[in-house]
Amino acid sequence: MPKKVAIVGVGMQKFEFCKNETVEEMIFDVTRNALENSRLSKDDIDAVVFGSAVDAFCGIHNSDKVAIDASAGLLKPTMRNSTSGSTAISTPILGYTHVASGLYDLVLVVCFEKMSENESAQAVFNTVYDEAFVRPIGLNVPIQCSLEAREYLNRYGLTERQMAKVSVKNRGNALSNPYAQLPMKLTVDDVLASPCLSWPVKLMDTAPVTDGARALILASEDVVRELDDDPVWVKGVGRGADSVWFMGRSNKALGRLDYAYLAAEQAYEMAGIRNPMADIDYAEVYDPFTYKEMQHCEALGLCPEGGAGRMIDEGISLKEGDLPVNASGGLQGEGNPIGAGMSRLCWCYLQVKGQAGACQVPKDVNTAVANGWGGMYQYNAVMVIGRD
Amino acid sequence: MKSGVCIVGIGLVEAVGPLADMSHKEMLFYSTRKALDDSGLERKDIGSAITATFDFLEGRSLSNQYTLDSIGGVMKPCDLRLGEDGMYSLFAGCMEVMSDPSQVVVVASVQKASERDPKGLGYQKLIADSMEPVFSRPVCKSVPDPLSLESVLAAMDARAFMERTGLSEDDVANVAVKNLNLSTVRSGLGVDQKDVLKSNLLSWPIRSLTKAKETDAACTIILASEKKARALGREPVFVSGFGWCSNKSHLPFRGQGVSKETKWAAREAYKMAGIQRPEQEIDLAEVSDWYAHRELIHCEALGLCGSDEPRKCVTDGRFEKEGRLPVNPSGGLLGRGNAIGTSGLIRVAQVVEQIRGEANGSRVQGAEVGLAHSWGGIPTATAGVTVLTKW
Amino acid sequence: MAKKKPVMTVDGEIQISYKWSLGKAGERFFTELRDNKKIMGTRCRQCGRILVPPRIFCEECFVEDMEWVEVKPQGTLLTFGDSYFSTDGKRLKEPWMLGIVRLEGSNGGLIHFIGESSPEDLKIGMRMEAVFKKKPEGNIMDILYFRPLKD
Repeated sequence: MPKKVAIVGVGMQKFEFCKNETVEEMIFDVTRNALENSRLSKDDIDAVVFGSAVDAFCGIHNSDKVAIDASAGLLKPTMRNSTSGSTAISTPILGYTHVASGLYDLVLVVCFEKMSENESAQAVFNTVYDEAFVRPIGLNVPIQCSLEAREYLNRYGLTERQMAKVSVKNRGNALSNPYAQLPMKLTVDDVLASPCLSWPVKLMDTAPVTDGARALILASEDVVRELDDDPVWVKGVGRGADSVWFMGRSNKALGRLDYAYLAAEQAYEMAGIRNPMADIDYAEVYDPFTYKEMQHCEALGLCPEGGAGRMIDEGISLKEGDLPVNASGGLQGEGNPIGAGMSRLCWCYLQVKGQAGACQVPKDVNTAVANGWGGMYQYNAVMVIGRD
Repeated sequence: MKSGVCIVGIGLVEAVGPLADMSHKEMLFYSTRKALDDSGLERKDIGSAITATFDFLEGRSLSNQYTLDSIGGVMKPCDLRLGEDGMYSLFAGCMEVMSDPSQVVVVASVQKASERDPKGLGYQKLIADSMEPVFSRPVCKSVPDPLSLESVLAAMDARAFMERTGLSEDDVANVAVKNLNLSTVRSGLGVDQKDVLKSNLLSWPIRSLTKAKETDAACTIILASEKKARALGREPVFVSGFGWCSNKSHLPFRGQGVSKETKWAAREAYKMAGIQRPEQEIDLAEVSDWYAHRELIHCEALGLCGSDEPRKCVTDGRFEKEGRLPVNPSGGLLGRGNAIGTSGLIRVAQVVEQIRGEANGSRVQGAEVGLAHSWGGIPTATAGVTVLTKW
Repeated sequence: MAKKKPVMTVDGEIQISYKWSLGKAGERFFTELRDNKKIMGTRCRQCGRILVPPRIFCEECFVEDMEWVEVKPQGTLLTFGDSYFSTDGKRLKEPWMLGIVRLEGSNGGLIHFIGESSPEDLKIGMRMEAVFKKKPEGNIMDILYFRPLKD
């Protein structure tokens, strides 16, 4: 029988455009913070799971290996996961299997990314593209997203104004987040007037490039009661992936994230959730671009398919709305250090615990969902957490 | 605690030289297809799939994107990729099966050394780039011949080991002789100790014949719970124990000529497998012989020498194929080539073949308990150990 | 863009060159493109899907049971995007555009430049055709761009 797994603490730090700390120092910072918040010492940790998307950002081959000591991982089992943006959630899922398998009781999960030290983030992203069919064409990230965004808006009759509202919401929410990189008071017109990178994606629809790390500690049901008498359980996990040949996927649209619907289905089935719109109290979805928040709300069943425009228009996803999304500011407002998008899950935990400070939403939060996205329109990982 | 996980299928694509006519995706498709055929399963039966690849070695960031189709992972929950040696994908796969025994999990790794740098020196160029960039890397990058860096670091390690154990250059050369002659992939080499000691000196005592050469390979292994394995009606092999461990990050702070990480990883694996006297209970071992002297460091750390000194183990021939505890009967990395990120998983497949009685040409008779070991290579300090037993 | 805070740094570079294999499928595809200006796909004999880019195996059926078929260099524009930035970040007068074209008679497509049009001329669902280089060399740039099909 798999063990039940709970989150017992998170480790946070400010997300910044350029951090002075090295990768090792960043990891030490959030590890120490997570241990303090869980009232544990480094010797209590049985295993460490690292998550970081792209070594080429920080230019260290196997970058996690420089932080074995810094992460309480010395002479312990450690492994590093790397699946593009979905690393944010696929890494804690890997941590989950460490504990659910019965092998380890207390596992530290550390996600990090240092994007400021290379010559250009775009130069690094170019190393992601297929060498024969895509790299010679000179694809870049804004166009990669505009291809998807245009199809999505076209398919469901959604608008750039609705995208802009997501930016206004999230950057505004980040004003309450002490770790946020880019909190901003914006209007829809400000967003629409910002430089257009590749229609419909504007500068203010795009999360920034960021340095940062996050940590969280998972505990098995066998030890959790000593640490927390009201645990926040991992209720459901799900993953979905699609072919890298995005241009050749038959009968699939870029605008509808089939693989994300798949991941959400799995997570909800495991969590026993039949009606996410009613059963989910809070969500932190992956929003490197504003239209991605919209797509993910649909794929996670937080609104009907094609209904994300209405969701933002009617204020449902506002902090004080019926189903708040990204009250932390999301990637838009807090920052996007790719692997450390695990922050979405950390904020879900803080909201369920009532420890989200000025970001705390007014409604009761018992069950929350977080997701990560990445690859060539390929991956989605979903985690549902909540109290008993 | 028992893992309850079995290996129900394996598939290998190995090369003597470069596999230039196949892309890495195609190599991985073939190894996965073979593993599925071996297990009697189909793509529809796959629960999830995990790969282990290194971006910098492939020249593609997020290299897992490209392997997805080849492991049968399209529209499956396959969002997991380890930037670790291939054996780690087995560890993660076992934990997946243990968390959900209804699942069949595919674990896979591919390595194409021939694509990297026309002279095949890409891995050596990366040694310095694995180090943290502030204190260690600048020195390593400013050495007169950056391509020798790996050999110099390996030599430092070898010298410390030989100093501590009294092993001679001849002893180390004999490991190379054993493995080079055992290989069924590169056959007809017929080397002797003289050949090894005359081979090109890279940095004493590291010579070109005591250092494994890079090669192309792909490996896929299919895991399932014991219950599912029985239902398949084929004879599976038990993963009776596994463990992995990481040592200190920075070279200056680590012991040289030892492998604490191997010792700790083995301890976990032996505990799970219920092994107390490995030198007696293990029938064969496939361990990392990236450099000839490392085979002995690892045997020592794995407890395969028992209470004897490594030197005695070399002179009494117990690790030879006909010996008490054959080590690297396949020929090891020295004999078959070093498929860097994939070789740990290949060693598991080799031990599975031995236990099934299928290892053509290198068969160890009556093998029932086998050990596979992986080591991350210079300048890392990571190791993984898997114990496999007959059904 | 925000200026980086001045911090003490040390410089470095990682330089490794690569020679990637095109593989069995890629080799045939690019040979036909170079020698015959043809776009080829592989058809899975089990499910009938025609894959472009071609593969030696069907990722759904997961078997190597394919046959090579010619695919028309025409198709439907699934989506497109434009950019006014050059490779070194300078602003351009005329945008360059990329699109994904689903090739007719196949279940696949290609991502490539869109030419002989401006963003205002394009609509999702338009019919497009490939324009080939005069002297193809055996890589994806042997197709110069896709342009709207003139009726």
